[in-house]
Amino acid sequence: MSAGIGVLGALQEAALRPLPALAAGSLAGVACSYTPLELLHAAGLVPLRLRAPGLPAPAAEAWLPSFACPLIRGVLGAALTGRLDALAAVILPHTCDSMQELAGIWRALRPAPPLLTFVEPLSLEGPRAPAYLRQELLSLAGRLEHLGRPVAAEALARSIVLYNRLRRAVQRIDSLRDRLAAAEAWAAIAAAWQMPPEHYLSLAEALIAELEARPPRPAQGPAVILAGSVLDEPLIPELIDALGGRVVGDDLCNGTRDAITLAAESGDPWAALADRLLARPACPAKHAPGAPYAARLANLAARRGAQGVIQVLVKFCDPHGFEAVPAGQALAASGTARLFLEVEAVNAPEQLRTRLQAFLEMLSAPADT
Amino acid sequence: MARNYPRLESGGELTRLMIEHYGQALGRQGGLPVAWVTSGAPVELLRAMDVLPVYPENYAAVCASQGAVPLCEAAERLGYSRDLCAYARISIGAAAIGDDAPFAGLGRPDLLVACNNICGTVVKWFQALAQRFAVPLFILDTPFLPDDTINEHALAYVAGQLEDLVRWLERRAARRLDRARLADVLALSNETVALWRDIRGLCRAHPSPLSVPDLFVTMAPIVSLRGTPEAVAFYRMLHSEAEQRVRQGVSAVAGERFRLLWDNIAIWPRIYHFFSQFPRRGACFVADTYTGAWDTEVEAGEPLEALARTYLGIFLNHSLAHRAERMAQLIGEYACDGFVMHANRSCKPFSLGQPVARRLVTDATGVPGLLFEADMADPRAYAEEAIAARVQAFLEALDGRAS
Repeated sequence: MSAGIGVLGALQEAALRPLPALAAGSLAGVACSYTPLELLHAAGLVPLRLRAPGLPAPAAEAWLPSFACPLIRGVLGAALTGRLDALAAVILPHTCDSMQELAGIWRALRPAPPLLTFVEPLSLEGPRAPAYLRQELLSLAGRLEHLGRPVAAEALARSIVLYNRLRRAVQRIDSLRDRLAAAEAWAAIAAAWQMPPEHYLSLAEALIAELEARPPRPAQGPAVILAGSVLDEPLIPELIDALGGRVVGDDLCNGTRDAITLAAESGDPWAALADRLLARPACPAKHAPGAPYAARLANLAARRGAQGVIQVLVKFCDPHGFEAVPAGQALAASGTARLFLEVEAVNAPEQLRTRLQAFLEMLSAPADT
Repeated sequence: MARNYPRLESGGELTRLMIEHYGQALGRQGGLPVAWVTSGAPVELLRAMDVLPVYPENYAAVCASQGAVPLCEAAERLGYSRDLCAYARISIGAAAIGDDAPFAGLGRPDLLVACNNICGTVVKWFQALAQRFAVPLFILDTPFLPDDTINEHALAYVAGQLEDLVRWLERRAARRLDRARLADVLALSNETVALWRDIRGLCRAHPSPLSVPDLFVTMAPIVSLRGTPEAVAFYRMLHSEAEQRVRQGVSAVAGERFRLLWDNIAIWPRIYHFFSQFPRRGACFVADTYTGAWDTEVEAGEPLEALARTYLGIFLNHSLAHRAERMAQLIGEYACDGFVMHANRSCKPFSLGQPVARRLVTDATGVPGLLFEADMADPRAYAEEAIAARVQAFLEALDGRAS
């Protein structure tokens, strides 16, 4: 086994494990990429993404209607089993209606861990959004201080530098996908959310060095973009690998979407953090008319030379459900095929395989047949 | 289906008023610009600037009460999933089929104004309308209140956006905001809101003069005509009628035995059918969490800041704990024997927390709650027999508690 495979193996292991083997008292659970990770890190916490990894969540069943999305179902299920009690805090941004309600439900059912909400703007391009968001970040810092986790501006500035480095590493891995299988790239990027940033960086930078020394894999099989909200398990990229497809880019919440935009490293760190959150590629839950999601997907597909986009819709995700329509129109207009793949909490691999196989075969077929 | 309760004499005036309202919107009476707005939008500003507000939510409810599956299907053919809000599907479907939809699909807006104080879905819905009609969209971003307090930065954010909205309307509607006119509209709006709150309050009487289905039917002007003399006149009439019923001991439900609270939006496609199961056993819905969404006056003082407070502070923009407390409070005030929760597939903010709220409310009040799943506008999500069986069992349990 080469050193590179060992590094990749460590990242794959991290991407899949429910909780890292750290003192839980230093961990902060996060459920959305609009969480200001730098702020939590500057408070001495290790942000960790709460996964909803394709498992039934029986503890949550009694407390949610049938039309709750699998993401909040999985996270609530984990919370109600007590597995998250020892976290120092959980931060739930107000990204969508489901995330909003998750906070209230969790708070009512489980006293631990402390839940901190963070209400970032919905309208990202409004002229008043930066000032509001800066104050909301300061308010979150105040609540962290109340938990005994004060945030100094200097520490925040250092955390911004660290996370910029981490996001550059994710960008670099994204650019080296031609040396990785789809499932490997998924894990190498998703792991950024599942471990301390310093530890991730040491593994990611080692992986990058290894990948840069490798030749690209033969560019065989249809090239696709993987898009959607959170992809908590590698089933779909694994199936794409098995079926001979190539993932040449992603637009995922735990993929590269949050890694594209860096924060300013000079000036007011609070404003830098706010500006980054507003400028990064928007989640479909947001209003960002200057940079529509549909055009973003079509442009990404064109830039990466993808023949198709696999749009994964987590069942009952309203923002992505609405955006599926303009996205389909934009992709059709640009001549890019689209597979719309609805997934639930637990998925039958054979059904997904059949649909992916049909899509990839269609992309492989000569245009005139 | 036969009604189980006395018809309101104000009903005729309501029909006339709403036909006139939609006629204005479709006929563009007086050449007024038409803005389609969400139910939580600060309509007082629009009215003060002679912009005619029209409510796709209200339109969708009207369509749903008459059967809107073809409109849902029209949206689904465009790619909108059946899991998405049925109001949005009805509205988008109606816009797509145009003249063939009721009221010709509500015509065409000049402007769109959406406020996320009721949900994030309205933003996605109005984005779709903006794309279809190629008209400008203003989003009023009202931060959710997870701790039920309006902090200074949220207030400044929303008040500032209201200033932006004024300038946006001035540019697009070619009208200036007249502050004196705004004060008049706010006074009318407050009078309407107070009347509506008093009408709902009359249902504290035993027996209740009105039932929640009456409120669902008569709420259209509080949503669509808030800030107009016509709405004030209508609610004065309704108030008189309800007051007279109280004086005369006329009950909405003959032989009222049980008093219930309703949680969530109505099931418009089955409104009479569903609610008719209750009067048969002497059960009257005397309070609800939906029609009270328009029960907060705009405070005195700087009007934009006061509007910001009002529209930030609406029921659905509060935490689940607050909403459950409000339900428990209503159950106490209206002396309810139980509550019925409609888990509405179309409305996640109203519905996702209901199983928890049911426990909180029962713990606080000691009264039982029924929770069942349906949809406010898509009848395909209404499981007739299963719901009837649950209602029957709930009413029998109430009977058992009473005996």
